[in-house]
Formats: sequence, structure tokens, C-alpha cells
Amino acid sequence: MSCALEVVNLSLSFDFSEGKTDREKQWVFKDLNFKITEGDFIMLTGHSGCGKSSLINMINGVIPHLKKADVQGDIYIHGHCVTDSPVRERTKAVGSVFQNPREQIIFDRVADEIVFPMENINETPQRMRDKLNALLSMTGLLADAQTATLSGGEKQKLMTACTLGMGQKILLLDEPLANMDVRSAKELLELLKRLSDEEGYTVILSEHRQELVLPYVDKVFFCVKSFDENVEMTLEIRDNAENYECDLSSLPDRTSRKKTNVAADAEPVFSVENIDYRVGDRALFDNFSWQINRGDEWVILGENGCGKTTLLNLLFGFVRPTFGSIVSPYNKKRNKRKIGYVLQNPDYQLFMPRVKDELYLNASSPEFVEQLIRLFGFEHMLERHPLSLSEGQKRKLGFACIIANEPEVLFLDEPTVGLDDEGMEQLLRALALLNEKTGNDRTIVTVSHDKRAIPYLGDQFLVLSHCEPYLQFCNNKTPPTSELPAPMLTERAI
Amino acid sequence: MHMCKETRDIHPILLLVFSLLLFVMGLLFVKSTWFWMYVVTFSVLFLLFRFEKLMLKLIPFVLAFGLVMGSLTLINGSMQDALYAIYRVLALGLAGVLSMSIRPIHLVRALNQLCVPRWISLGLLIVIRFIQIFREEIKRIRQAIALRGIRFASTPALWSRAFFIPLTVRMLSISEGLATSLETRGFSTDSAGSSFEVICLKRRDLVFSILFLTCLTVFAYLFLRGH
Repeated sequence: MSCALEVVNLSLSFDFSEGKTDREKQWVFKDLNFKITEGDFIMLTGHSGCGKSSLINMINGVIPHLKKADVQGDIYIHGHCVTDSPVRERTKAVGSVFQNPREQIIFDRVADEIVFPMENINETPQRMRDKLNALLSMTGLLADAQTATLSGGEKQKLMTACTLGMGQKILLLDEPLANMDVRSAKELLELLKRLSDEEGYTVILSEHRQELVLPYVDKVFFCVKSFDENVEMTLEIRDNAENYECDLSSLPDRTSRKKTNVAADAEPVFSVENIDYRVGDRALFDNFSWQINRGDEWVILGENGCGKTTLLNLLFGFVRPTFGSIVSPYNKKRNKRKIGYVLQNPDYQLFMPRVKDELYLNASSPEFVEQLIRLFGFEHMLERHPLSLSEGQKRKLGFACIIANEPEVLFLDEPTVGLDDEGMEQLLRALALLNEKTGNDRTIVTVSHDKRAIPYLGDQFLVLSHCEPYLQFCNNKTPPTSELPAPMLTERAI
Repeated sequence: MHMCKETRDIHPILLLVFSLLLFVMGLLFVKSTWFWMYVVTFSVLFLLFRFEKLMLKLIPFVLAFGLVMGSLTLINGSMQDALYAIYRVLALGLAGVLSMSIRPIHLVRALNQLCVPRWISLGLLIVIRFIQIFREEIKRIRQAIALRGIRFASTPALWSRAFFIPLTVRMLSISEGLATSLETRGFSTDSAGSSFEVICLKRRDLVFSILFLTCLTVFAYLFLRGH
């Protein structure tokens, strides 16, 4: 097999301080060297904010051609040096799927979005039609669906389909599974594996959910902290993925935060009574009923696009059911303040000039905020602007700001997306801290696909599905002993 | 071989041109005694060609905007001036029915077929798309503000901060995301690209054009004769 990608002495720095020599500068990484042969399937993993996305963006040319940075060293694609080639040149050989698919969608119809890159590379209409049909059947998306009504996971599938349609032999995927349900994620991984094994595609996939990706990959590139104080990270390459074990031992014991005195006759806080809800022509809920009692900890599971986030929005009152009603003491405007809702994208909830101001805004007690600062390790960034933080740090800050208000009801929408194991542990410990502080009557409703976190996020599970019967209730009070909490929580459901 | 897709949509370039014509002519005709005939004639034509859903959607906007414009004009002008202001909004509404029925992707493809440079057609598309994104983002930011318990009535400065900072950040982030996405999906101003479907003139377009232009000519004649 010939070499698909070679990186020689590659260094990256965002330190633009004047007068500093290369030795004095702060480097994200320095003098990286690796070779990837055609047909390799590689997982790129490591802590949040360690530079995985930057490495991917250097290979496809986004850094430094679209995002300014100091880059040294050379990149060879299929033996040709592309260091000075702009993004559009490299795109001929390298396909990229980025994080935040919502920001990349141009068209209002799924089919138009998928064929757009094919139009750019001068494909014939017939070939476009064939590829479109294949990609639609692979992703399960509908050609005429409106892109604005797709869920986060469906948008991610759409962007992946767009890239696969271009047919480049090197694929770079930056957390493409973040919002996908396990079944969709496995389908995508199987497809990538097939492309890599049978058609010689080279795949580099960055992902935190190591246990999901590991069975498919040939090599693991692990971003680890560098020993050089001027360099943040370096790469550890494990040639044989089978010898690599993911470390989840640091996670807290689920039983340690199991509730002991939840009242058997707890009052209902949300009674969903026979609601219907439609998005366009799609019926998301049809005669759906559900009850959440005070102190309950529910996790909503289900395939992409089955209405998990919509259900949170219905409970909060952002959207109203087409038919039926949701009875809750929190329907009153003055009680809405007692609900904390952590959104998928933290950018919407951060606006103060400093991290400190953000945390203390609306905080119920300064002592609790200080505990959260220590827990999340915000001590050294209190004076920083919240939007200057990395994505993982912003997510943790957004979460901390909401729970600092000590809400009676907490809605969490994919709280662990993009978080490494350490970040996830901090988040779970913060939830335990919140419960410790305010007793056991906190009600938590979480939407998650994250197999790592689900067993720790609740003890009752609501499974939504497109298929008939589209709804199942799973009440499982037994703490999970394995990776999944109960036999009824099939992988399809997560 | 390129296939012409059979749809009920009128050709996007025709819609764009007719929409502009309808608006400009409408502004010229507002002071004519038969202006209401102009509105009724084209409304009937639009109903014949199944634009009823869009017309229904636009009625609340035309009523609200017309009343606002009429009321503002009434402050300094006469009742007649206020009526003319409402007529201008009606002309805008009529033109809006046609322009809003254009599917952006069809317009881009039709412009590409006319060899309009791709940076112009795609630029136009992104501008159209950005209006929609802007609306969605504002909705989400207002929801996020409500979630942090901030009210404009009690803390207007904080509310403004919570609104404008995320809005700016999101707009910049979306612009950057779109630019990167375009580059990595092979968009280039140097290449003409191919087209998934050919937008061609159909019999329905011809019938619509003949009826539209006939009506417009009649009103133009009435207008010129009046002068």
C-alpha cells in the first residue's frame, strides 16, 4: 500500500506575540511526524481542547488558509507536497466533515444539500442521481425533508453524506458521531470500515466515544500532554488498535448517587396528557402521555429525529402541542425561573464579559459557585472572556451557570457531547453536588445518546422511536452493572 | 442527458422579473382610480396559478404593514395620502407573492444556466438563506435569554447584552462555517460546475407569461391614456 498522507515536522502555534523566537513561543504541537497508508482507518482521540480539530484542519488546509495560525513543516498527500495549496485544491483529494453541522447547511432541502458538492465537481446528473439515492438510503434521510426541521444527529448525517458524495479517497471526520444514536453511528462506522477495507479509503476520525469506534479502527492516534512546557500536546501512535484499552475507570459509581428517600407519593411535576405534535407533515407525537414526578431522574433516549429535544421544548413551553395539554405548576411564568435548561449549544447562553460574571449571574449561593469553580477547574480562567474558551470548556461553563441557580427542575440536552471522560466525570460530580446541596427532590430530564453517560444520568428511561410502537417506557430502578442499564435499553434505542 | 423536471413551479427567472415589474408598475399606478382593479386582476391570476397558500401567508403582513404605513402617513398627510400608502404596501404584497414563491436553488440553477457567474448566484442564495438563519438564531437567543431568567422590562441593559453578544458571535460563527463548508465542498469561482436538474421553460410558464404581460399591458395603456 502506498502512502496516502505524510506529515513531516508539523508544528502549530496561535501565539502571535511579537519579538518571540520559535523557542519562546507557545505551541499547540511541535514537530509531529507520521505516515498514513492508503486504506488505514484511524481514530484520533484525546482530551477536549487538546488540538484534534486543529490537526484535522491543518490537513484539509483550513489552517492556515482560512484560519490564521503559525504553521511550520510539510504535509504530503499521495506523495505531493500540499503545504502551500489552498483548501479548494486539497479538497480534490481530502473530504472533511466538521463539527457544528448546523452552521454549514446552505440549502433548505436535503437533496439539494447533498448534490451541491457533486455539482461543484462537475458530476453528471445521472451519476448525481445514483449517488444521491445511495446516500439517502444509507442515511435514512428523506430527499424532500426541510433541512431546518432536521435534528442535530440528522444534520450530522446530512453533512457526512455531502462529503461521501464527493468521493475523495482521504476522509477527515471531526466528531461526526457526536449527536448520532448508536445504531446510526454503527452504520456510519461500518460504511467507513467497508470503504477503507474494500475501496482503499483512508479515514481519520476524531471522537471521544472511544468504546464505540475502537472495534472498527486499525490505529489510534492519541493526543497526550507534552513534556515540553512550551508545547501543549504530542501524538502517541498505537499501531495496533487491539492493544489499546479505553479508560473509563475514573467515572463515579452510579450507586453512590442513588437516591434513598424519594417519596413514593411524590407529586407530579409534568403531566403530559394525550398530546399530538407535528413538524410539517411529520407526526412526532401521536396521543402521547407521560408523567414526571418530583425527584424523578429521566433519560430520554431514541433515534435521531424522533423528537427528544422537541419533548424538552414542549415541557418547557417553548412549543405547544398541536393537540392535548401538558399540566405543570411550572407553566406559570413566575415558576419558569425554577427550571434550568442546558442547551446543546452553549454559545447561546454565554454573554457576560468574564467567566466569573457568568457564573455569579443569578447564582443562588456564592459557596456553591465556588464549589463548582473548583470542581470544573475554572480557577485560572475566571477573568477570561467566556467565548474565548474551548468548546468543551464552554459547555462545562454553560452547565455550571445553569446549575448555579439551583433549579428545582433541570433539563439537560445532550450535556456530554464533545466532552472527554474527565469532563463527563466533572459534570456528573456537579450533578451529585447539586443533589447533595438541595436534597432529593430535584427533577432531572436528560436527552442523551452518550452510552458512557446514560447509566449515570438517571434511573428511569423513556425510549422514543420512529417505528411502531413508537413509544416505550422503561422503568428500571436497578443500578446498571454493565455498559447498558437494562435489557430493554437496546442499542437501537440509544 | 439533462432532464427537465416537471413541476408546477413557474420558472424562477420569470418570477423574479415579473415580481419587479409588478412592484414598479404598482407604485406608478397607486394614484389611479382603477388601482383596486389592478390588485384584483393579478390576485385572480395568482389564484388561477395556485399561489393561494402564499397569498394567505402574506395577508397578515400586508394588513399590519399597510395599517402602520397608513397611520404614519395620516399624521402629516390627508386621508387620500394614507390610502396611497396602503396601496403601495398592496403593490409590495403582490410582488412578494411572486418573489417568495421562488425556490432559491431553482433560481441559482437557472442563473447558472444563463452563465451568470457562480459567485453571484451563490452569493444571492446565501443572502436569501441568511435571512432565514437570522430569524432562527434570534428565536433561539430569545429562548436562551428566557432560560437565564433575564427580562427586558427589569434589566434592559443586561437583556441587550444577552441578545446582541450571542447574536454577533453566532452570525460570525455561521459565516465562518459557511465559508469553510463552501471551500471544502469544492465550490470555486473558477469552475462552472454542473447542474443536477435543468430549469427550463414549460407550457405553464408560457401561459402564465402571456396572461401576466397582457394584463400588465392593459393597465399600462390605461395609465398612459390617463396622462
